[in-house]
Amino acid sequence: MTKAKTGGAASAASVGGVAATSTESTATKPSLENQISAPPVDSTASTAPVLDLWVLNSGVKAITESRTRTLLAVDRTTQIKISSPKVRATVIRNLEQLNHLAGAEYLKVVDQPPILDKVE
Amino acid sequence: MPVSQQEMKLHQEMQQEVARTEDFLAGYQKSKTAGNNVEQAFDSMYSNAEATQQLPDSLRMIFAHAAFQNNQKGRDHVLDGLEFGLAEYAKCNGGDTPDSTLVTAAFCEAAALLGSKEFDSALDSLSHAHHEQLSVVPEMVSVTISTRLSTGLPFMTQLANPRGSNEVPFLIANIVAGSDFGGMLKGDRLDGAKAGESYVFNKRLFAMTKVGATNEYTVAPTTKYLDTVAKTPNPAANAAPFLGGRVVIRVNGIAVASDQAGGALNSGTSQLNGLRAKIAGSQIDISAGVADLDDHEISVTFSAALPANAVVHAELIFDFERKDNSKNPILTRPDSEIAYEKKSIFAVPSSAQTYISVDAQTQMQNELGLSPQAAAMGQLQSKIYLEENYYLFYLLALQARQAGRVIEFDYARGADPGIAASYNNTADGIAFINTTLRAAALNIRNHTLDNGSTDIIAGDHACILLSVLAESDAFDLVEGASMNNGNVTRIGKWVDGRGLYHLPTQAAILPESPTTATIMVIARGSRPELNPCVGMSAVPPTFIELNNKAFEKGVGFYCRRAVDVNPHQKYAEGVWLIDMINLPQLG
Repeated sequence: MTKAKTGGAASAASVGGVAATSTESTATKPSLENQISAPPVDSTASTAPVLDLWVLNSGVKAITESRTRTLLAVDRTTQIKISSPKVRATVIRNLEQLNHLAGAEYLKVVDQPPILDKVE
Repeated sequence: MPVSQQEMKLHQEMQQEVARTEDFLAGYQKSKTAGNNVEQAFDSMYSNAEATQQLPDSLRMIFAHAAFQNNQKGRDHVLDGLEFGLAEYAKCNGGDTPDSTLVTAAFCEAAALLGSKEFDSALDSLSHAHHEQLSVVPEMVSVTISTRLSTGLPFMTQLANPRGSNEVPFLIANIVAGSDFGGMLKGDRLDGAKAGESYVFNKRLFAMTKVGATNEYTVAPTTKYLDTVAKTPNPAANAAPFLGGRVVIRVNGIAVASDQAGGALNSGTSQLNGLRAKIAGSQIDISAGVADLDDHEISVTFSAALPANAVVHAELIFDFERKDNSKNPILTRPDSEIAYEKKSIFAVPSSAQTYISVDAQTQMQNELGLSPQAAAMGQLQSKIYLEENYYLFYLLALQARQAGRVIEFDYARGADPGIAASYNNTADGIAFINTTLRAAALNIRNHTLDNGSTDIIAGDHACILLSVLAESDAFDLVEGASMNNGNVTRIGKWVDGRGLYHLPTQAAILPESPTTATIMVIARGSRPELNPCVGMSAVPPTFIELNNKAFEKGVGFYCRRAVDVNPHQKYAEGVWLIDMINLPQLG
């Protein structure tokens, strides 16, 4: 039961709402047909861990984060969309290296702001 | 800042001295190339008093000193110093020859040394025996010349200071627009960012404006543009008379109508006729068109609506001969002016001293064959030059970092570290930085408006990686050059002449970690005064014997030099940093 609840939202989304009325076994083992015929996924409904990073660039020039090619504008908090934990680690490492060379933490990972300045 | 007559005179003196040195070097090298040795080369050029007058003033002052009268050996010693300095400079700078400004500075320093009170007092401490004058003076002159040359760097200018002044006015002349005209404003550099803007070339384009929902387009040309890209005239500027019989209407750049058939006119109206030109397969015809030479307006009506987003221009030639009712020319021709920008650099005194007991001195001399004072002073001299370089690099790096003149370079090119990037070897990987270096060089050229070259300054880790470029055909390591902590050394050279200089990481100017490094791209000005750094000597490094302590002997070191980032800030900003990340781990 616990397992089903944990994956519930994601599973429900993946079968297009069928899960809302389906049984536990149906939700955890969706058929291939159900997946193909499912409507577009609403990612905001996902409860998967959020990998995205929000980075405040307090430097004097915009830079492009090289792993994701995300432009980090000056004095803005920019969302970097991250697809995997490995990419996330690379991005964080890149930011750390650039901060080290600048001698200051001018690229700072911050909490997700309530209103995004810019979404890449 | 206004330039006084005195400053202008001094500036011209400096320029003349550099020009004379350049002539001297050219003739000297030519004579050597013809097979003469150093002394023969000199003698062949300056065999009589008249020819000697053509020598640079500083060199004449040196040879006029008592120590060089009837002292052939002494004079040869000076030339040996020049030879040694040139050779050392070439060794440190990938085989290059120093700029004549640096050689002039070296001669001026030597001349200033002979004229300085400090040096006189040093000579006073000698025994005044004739042979010491004859040997010590030429040696000091020789060392001064060779040291100045051998420690020179192409991006750090040493200004000539023929008068040995503490303040040297530093003038840069620019040719600028003398009036607002066309696409330029008074004071805009003719060779600057607006170099290609409309000013002198008298064929001019003006954007025509569509009149409401009709097919009519009009324009009233003026002497200035409001928008130089869109070619819209500035309505606040004076109306510009233009030649009749030379007006062309262009649609999307293609000539579709003109008044050329009517012949040349300079008053009244001139009718425009269609040229049956086709755009995208459709012929563009006009139903009416006129150039009004009295009201300075042009209008054209097309037979059918033009394609969407069509751009319509009137191409015309300004009529500078046209006069108003008072017989005065309506248009004033564009003109240029020479604008001097003046800044000064100031010399500061630096001094140090070394004392050693008589016992220690004799012991060292007897057992090691070494003069402790000479050894200490030699080190102090090298140290002050290194300090100067570090001081300048620190300021240049700080200015670039704080102003955001930084480019990022990811060795992994966006891959996750640990994943084999698409390189076969390290040389392929690091070669990618060539594009970043060129981007930095372009930024520098655009920023300084100078089309000089660049050099690359790098710390330990970055130098080791960049050295791998020697596996390609585009880069060579300088034979025998090695990185060390006591020098800024040129260790490599790109085929286009850019040098790779090692700046020790322990200087803490260009930060590094096992996988990161910052390197510096620095402008090498097309003229020495456009370099990011400048300096000059009022009193070159001089040694003074100190005998004021019992049972101890000492040597004093003194110099009065100016060392600064270029006070003309634009040229000091000819520096870009490159932050390199995800580098192969060293150590």
